[in-house]
Amino acid sequence: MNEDISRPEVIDRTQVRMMVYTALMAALTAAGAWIAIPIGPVPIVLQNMFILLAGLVLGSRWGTASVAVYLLAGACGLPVFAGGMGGIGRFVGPTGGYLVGYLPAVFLLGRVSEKRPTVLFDVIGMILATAVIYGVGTAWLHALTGLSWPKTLAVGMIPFLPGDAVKIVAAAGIARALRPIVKME
Amino acid sequence: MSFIEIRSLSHRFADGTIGLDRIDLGVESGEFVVVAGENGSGKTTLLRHLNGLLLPTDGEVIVDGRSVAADPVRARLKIGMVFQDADSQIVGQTVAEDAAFGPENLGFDRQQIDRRVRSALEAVGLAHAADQAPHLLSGGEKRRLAIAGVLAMGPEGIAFDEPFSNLDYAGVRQVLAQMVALHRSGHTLVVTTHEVEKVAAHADRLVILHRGAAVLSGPPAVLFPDLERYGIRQPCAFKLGKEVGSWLA
Amino acid sequence: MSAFEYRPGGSFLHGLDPRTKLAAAAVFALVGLAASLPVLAVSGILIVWALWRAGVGPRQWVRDLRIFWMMLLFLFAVRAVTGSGPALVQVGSLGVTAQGLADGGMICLRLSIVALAGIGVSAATRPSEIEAAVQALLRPVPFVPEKRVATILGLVVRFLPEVLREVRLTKEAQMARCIEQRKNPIARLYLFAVPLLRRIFVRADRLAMAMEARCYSDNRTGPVLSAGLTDTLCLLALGLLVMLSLL
Repeated sequence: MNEDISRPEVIDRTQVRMMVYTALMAALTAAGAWIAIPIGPVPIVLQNMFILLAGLVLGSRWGTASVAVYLLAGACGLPVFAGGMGGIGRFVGPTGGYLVGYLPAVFLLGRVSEKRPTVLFDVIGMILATAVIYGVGTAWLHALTGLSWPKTLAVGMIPFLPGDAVKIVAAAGIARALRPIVKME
Repeated sequence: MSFIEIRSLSHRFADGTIGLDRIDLGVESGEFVVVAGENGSGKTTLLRHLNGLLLPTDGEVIVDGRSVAADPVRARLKIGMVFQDADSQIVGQTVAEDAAFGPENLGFDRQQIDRRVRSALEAVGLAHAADQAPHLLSGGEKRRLAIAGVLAMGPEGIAFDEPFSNLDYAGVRQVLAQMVALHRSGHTLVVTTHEVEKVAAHADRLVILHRGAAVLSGPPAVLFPDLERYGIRQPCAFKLGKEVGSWLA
Repeated sequence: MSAFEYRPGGSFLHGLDPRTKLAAAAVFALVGLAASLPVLAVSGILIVWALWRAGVGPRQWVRDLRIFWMMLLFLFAVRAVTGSGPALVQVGSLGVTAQGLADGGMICLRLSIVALAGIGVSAATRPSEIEAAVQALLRPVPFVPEKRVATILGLVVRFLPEVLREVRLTKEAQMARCIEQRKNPIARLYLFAVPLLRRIFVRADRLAMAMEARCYSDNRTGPVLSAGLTDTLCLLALGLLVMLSLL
């Protein structure tokens, strides 16, 4: 093995670590679509909680990157979408709007929680992010089904709000526990 | 000058605890050195100084004539590292892709990479599994894949961190046989472990770490009587007054 | 085996360059959203044929897209009763109209085409080929470090089975300690997620260190892709489809 070794331009340690974290949050988001915790009568699916955690723990830049990578992987047909809905078809299905909404939502959440790392800012950020997700999600649902707005909201938002409230409060606590071990830049 | 020269190496962690305390150690080219010590004695910390994953607070580490701190990338090319947790060091989705990760980073062209990957996988006996998913491999095979991953980068030395942890008997024998073969082909080996019994018969030298200091260094058989004083289990055969044989026998 | 997993083979789809397949999926997404009925019909036939040749028959895609079909059914039902015009059948206060049925059928056909084209990529392309194609297609895009994106994509695919396994282990460990006795949902979520994430992030740290030890770099050798004559012909056909759908 005597070929010339070109000197690799190695990447800064924190950059590598943030890349790995980004991939990890994207994988958790993908897995979150499969993970349901049986709480009360309806099991709640954890995907949007991991989306929120990506914003809280990784911040606006890497958090948005992790959601973007998740969506890109799904759009390109990598096996990351749950429930047998792979590929670009998922985006145009009735729930596609929620997926697309994740992107601005995480960016916004990251921005808000970076302002001040307090529980209050975290929760405000998560409420705003959830509003963005439902804004984009129900708009697409409305366009696709042709249902009236009150009916669209009754189908595509209101039933999920109690679960979302639970996830927001839990995510605030989880983010606090996680931040010290996630060594950021 | 030795292949690896460790001079008065100290490492203090960010929280103030002392990881390594003025270690002096030389490893000759082609030598097979076992570094033993109880958990927390500083074995992993020491190993991570060999390729610049950690840098000294004091003292220096010199690999093949050049300071690791001054040029960690060169040290990484000279000494490949096999980590304790074999699962967490797999990057690729197939065995061949994982072995290719290092050479790809070094910027070789595709043909050279394929050649290196093939010969590395052959060297560890995983050529037949090239297209398999790594998480389906057995514990011993995963560790061998990790070895192939560093072999493909063409190092002169290989550092093993607790290579026998979580392995069954068959796995231990596979990994041990691999080490012996690497040693025979001229590689320098530095192996940390708390299970001296498994490698003692093949090592040239045993170094005992205790609370971050290198307290003893010498031929394994000479140091057996002192092991338990430093919290390391003595080989069974030694306790029974017999010669400590190879696990490969 | 799901249609979304890669299945080895030598079919027409398998032989195409992954870039061509991604382009095709994108074109069919456009077709699905914009094209008229004849173009939709032709596209549908093409896709079903290619899938069948690649070893994914109607059985698989009916079964594997179960949830998707159920959502389409819902969509169809909603559309059927919200159309305007005279009711064909009256169900309680809801009237099924001819226009509603036509609208619903059309939307379902459009969405099915997009979804089936997506299966075509997943079933006949290795994940590593998809990453390579993404890297190649992102190269001209400014401000996007395509090699890093491809690395992260690969890591996602690598992490996914590991994350699912850790989830299962965490659930088992908690069931062994009677987590069901806890009624507070917030506490349950917290107690589930914190140990899981803590463990996974520690492993991520180790992976990052192992990548560093193997000199992870930005000027790393990329994958090799080669497109042939078939790919060129396919791209021409796809271009034609785009024109037809936009007309």
